[in-house]
Amino acid sequence: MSNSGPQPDEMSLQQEQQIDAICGGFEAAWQAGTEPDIETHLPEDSGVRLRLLSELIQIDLERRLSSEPTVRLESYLARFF
Amino acid sequence: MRTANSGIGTLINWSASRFAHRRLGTAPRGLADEEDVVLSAFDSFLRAVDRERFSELEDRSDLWQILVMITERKAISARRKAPDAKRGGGKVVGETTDSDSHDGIDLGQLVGLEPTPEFSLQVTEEFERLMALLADDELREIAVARLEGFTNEDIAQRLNVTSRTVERRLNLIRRLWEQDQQDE
Repeated sequence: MSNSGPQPDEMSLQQEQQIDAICGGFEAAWQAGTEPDIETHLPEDSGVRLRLLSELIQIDLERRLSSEPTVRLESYLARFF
Repeated sequence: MRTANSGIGTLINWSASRFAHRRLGTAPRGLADEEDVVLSAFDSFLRAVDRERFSELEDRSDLWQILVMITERKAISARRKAPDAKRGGGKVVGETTDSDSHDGIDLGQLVGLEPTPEFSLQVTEEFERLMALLADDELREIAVARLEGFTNEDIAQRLNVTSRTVERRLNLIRRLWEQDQQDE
């Protein structure tokens, strides 16, 4: 198994629901007008941590691109890897 | 329209035709009550026809495809459990012969066919049952908007969420519906 965690089609429904709930909280924070930290929504001991990180980065990047056209994916790589 | 020659297009045209009959008061006597239900089921499709947003419904992973496939499977299963059930004379959607029976539904085979009111009613019931499986209002709103033919971007804008969230939640909806089928 790779160190990237389970792929989407390998994840259980329960894991998908777990990821969805955390991402929902992350989106809600953006909707509330704050700029949430990815780190605070990323549990250390989760079996889907890297999959969740991927989802959170995609949301964060999409949100930031609407106001910061210069933000780049590379900045997340430097921050988390 | 791009979908005019597809099975989905057939369903749309059929429902639109019934809708026109209803509005003009020319529907055959005895069909009115049944058509109330049918029209309710296809109301979202009629709205989508108006917007000509059906191109994405050709995607086999789309929710409408899944809804029709689930209904078709149940109809086939019900017929197998009742081997002596009387079949209609015409070949119509929801009344496939044994040689046509398969786990999925080949929309290409539906070209030119007309869905029966019974099958449309089954779709309605299945739609309501599957929607009840979705745990929160936003999931249901995403499912309905997708069935209406809105794009992920449209839905994201409406709900003030990212497109990625819409895509992720659509995947979750598909998993929930597929899991329900496996549990039955």
